[in-house]
Amino acid sequence: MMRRDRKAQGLVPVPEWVGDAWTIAAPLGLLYLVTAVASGVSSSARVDLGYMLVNLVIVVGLSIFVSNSGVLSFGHLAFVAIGAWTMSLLTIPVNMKDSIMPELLPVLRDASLPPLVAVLVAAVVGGVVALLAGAALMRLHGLEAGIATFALLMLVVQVLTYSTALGPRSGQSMVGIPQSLDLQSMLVIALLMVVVAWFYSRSRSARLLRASRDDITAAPASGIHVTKHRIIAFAISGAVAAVGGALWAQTNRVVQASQFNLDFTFTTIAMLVIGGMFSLWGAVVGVIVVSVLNHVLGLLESGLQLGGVIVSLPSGSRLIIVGLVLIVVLILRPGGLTGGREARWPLRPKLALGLSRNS
Amino acid sequence: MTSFLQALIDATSAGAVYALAALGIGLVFGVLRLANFAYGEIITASAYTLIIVWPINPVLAVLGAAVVGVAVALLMNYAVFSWLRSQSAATLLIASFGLSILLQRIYEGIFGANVLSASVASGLSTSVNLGGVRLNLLSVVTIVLAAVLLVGVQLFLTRTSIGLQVQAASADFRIARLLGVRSGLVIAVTFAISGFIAAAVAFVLTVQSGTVGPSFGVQPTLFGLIGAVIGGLRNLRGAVVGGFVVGVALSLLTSWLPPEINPFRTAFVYLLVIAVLVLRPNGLFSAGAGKVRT
Amino acid sequence: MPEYPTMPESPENAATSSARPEPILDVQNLTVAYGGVTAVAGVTFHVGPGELVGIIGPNGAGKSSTLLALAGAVRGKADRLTFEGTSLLGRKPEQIARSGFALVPEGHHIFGALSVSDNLRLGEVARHGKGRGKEGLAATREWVLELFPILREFLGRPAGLLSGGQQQQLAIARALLSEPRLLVLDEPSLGLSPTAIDTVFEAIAAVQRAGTAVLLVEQRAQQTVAAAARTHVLGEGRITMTLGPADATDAELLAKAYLGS
Repeated sequence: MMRRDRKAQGLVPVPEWVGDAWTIAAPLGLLYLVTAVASGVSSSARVDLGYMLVNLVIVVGLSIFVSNSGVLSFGHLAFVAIGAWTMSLLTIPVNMKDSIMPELLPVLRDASLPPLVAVLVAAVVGGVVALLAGAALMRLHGLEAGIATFALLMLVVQVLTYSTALGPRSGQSMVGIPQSLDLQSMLVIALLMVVVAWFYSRSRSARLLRASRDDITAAPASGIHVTKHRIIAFAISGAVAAVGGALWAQTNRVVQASQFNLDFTFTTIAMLVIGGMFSLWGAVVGVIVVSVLNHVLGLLESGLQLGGVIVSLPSGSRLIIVGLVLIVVLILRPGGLTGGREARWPLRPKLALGLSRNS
Repeated sequence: MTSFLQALIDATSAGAVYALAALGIGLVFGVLRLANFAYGEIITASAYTLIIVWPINPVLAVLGAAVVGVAVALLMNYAVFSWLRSQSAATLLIASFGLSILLQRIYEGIFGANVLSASVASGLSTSVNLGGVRLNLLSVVTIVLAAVLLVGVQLFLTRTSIGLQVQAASADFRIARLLGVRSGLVIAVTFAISGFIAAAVAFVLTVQSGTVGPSFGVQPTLFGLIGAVIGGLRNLRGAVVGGFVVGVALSLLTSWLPPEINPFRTAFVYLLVIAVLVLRPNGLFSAGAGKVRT
Repeated sequence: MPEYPTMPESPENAATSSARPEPILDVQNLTVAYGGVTAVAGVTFHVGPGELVGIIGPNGAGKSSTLLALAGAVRGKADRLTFEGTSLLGRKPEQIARSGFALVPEGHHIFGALSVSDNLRLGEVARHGKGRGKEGLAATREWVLELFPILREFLGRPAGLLSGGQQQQLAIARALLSEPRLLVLDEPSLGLSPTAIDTVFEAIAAVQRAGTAVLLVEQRAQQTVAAAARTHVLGEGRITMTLGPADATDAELLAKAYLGS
């Protein structure tokens, strides 16, 4: 495909490594650029930027599983919740924990770690839970997989809501999370997660998994142990999502189980789908596009002075518009804005890369 | 013994509500491969109609709720899903998820984030004494209503030409069209019936709670959808039984779990759902080697 | 120039019997492509009123794609693709089915969970809006059940319990209940026992005798060539040869036609 294209156009081929490197350079560069620009715009932009980086990590985590396996997960917020929980329990001061979570397990009460180590622990906890859950769920596909992952989220949320051994009483939130990661370190972590996703997508395991993506029934016959590779993808993806959760706890600084709800699930899935479910580039583009849209709509909701007139949208229009954008994208461009492809080297003719969706 | 009977009737009634929701969802899934997450927002639209119109005129409220349910369902079909007909089931599900969130915010914009209240059919909230057993009248009415609708849908599917066409389209849409089955008509009829059933669900739930908020329909849809999936969405009867089982399980767990772990009843239901999906991936009631369609 | 059988009992044929009648199905330069792969590469043929026309060819020659394009189930391109003078291009499968064009797809695809009689009722869906009314329908039902007596015995049974041969009969019967002017069959003999094949071919002959045009796609070359006014041999998406009934006895020619030499 790639070779034929070049020949047909009679152009000197770009060395393959340039195209390859571009698939990681483009998302990293774009992310860095957007962060650099946004942090200079306004203080409200810096706040939204923090959430954008959080969402980026979550959606990249989600995409590690979805884009490589082709299976939809509605339950990744379970790992985000676990990551947020781990971060909170490990960084809230002990006296604070005593007052808001009097029935906390002693081991959790006494645990206290520096923030970066806590993020790492969150990744491990999220990854282990995802590994165990994946071992049970990964034989499912299609709608059943979607419902099962969603049930997993609900299960985790219910347990975190009502278990006083693991957190506050139902309806109460965890507060007192010290703010210890600035935008710079969040950006570094986000870039790192993109790199993790990129390296994973180039692994043998991910390649085998993608080979099964388009035809679920064909792959087992050709000798690929889909389930095993899906579990691997699910575990890595859960770990990255948990890192997102840890950053979310850091950014939001008030954590409650009910926050991991359908609206949040929707936001992350919308970002992934709008950008393009089947590539890392799609995840990054989707998060940035929706976050910028969200920021602008947020400004409009609070009333924006535009050349003498105040433009304002009713509150709540954000999700309406993001929902509309999602539906319109699904109708007009079901592959998402990126068409499900990885970033392509712009200076030369199209490079079809190994990561792009087979078609 | 009497409390056991009461609990049983209440559980049956809870099961009946989710069975209806699963029926509404399963019908549409049959022809379109759409697991309509936004089904809840049809229920919510009918519920708003009931709560707002009931104090003015109960008859008008019931009729209005039915009309609104059918209209919203048809609107969803024509405005969104008819554009996505050739897409995968996953795409349709994501679109319906987006539509659900969007409509919830629209309801919030129109009616406010707080719940509206009115006592709808308060006469049904009383208990009747039947041979020493105190029965919640609403539970009985719910069971009867669900039974009537289930039989009605069954008769429609088997006795009418268009119902037969719905069955044919559910079994194999491509072949049905080659026989002259009009795809647009069959899908619209299915949406309309599912909207009518949503109105019935809204009626029962508004009598029960007397309030409606923007996310009123989410819970019954979630459990209806989950029930339909564990029962086997590819088989309407399985879907309905699945919805029923989820409702009964929720209700019985509520009455019987010891108080210290009672808050975890929903968690138990989700654990049960995961267990069923893992053990019977094609649904509890699939006939083993059922045709897998994705 | 092939000869068309004249059919004085049918008024529309009587009017045109002196001249060459308009073909009921006219296909000129039909192409079908899936993605980048061409399945049918410019096929031209026609079916006259009441005629039986055959298409034979090996697997993958484009036979099914041709039929699916005619029925509107897959998109095709053509210089001309008309049924009774009306273009079929861009029309929905259900519209085409309702215009008197009945396709029995390969593998028959009956509705296994529904009863035999419900399957037959579904055949009547495309008949909707025809002029002949209730008595006409009763007569058609009677005729179809006489053609396939076995179905009458099993009317109340789930169709999935029928044997392969019986299911094929049901599929043809279902198509006939739409009272088509053109019956299109895609490999009706596939997977059937020799007796069942004979039953199916006899039924096809009876349908044609009753005045319905038939387009028969088959792998059974000899039987098809013998029955059809013309048989087109399809290979790699093109018509490579056209045979007449006389060629049915020429085993060498048939083998050559089939192997595509």
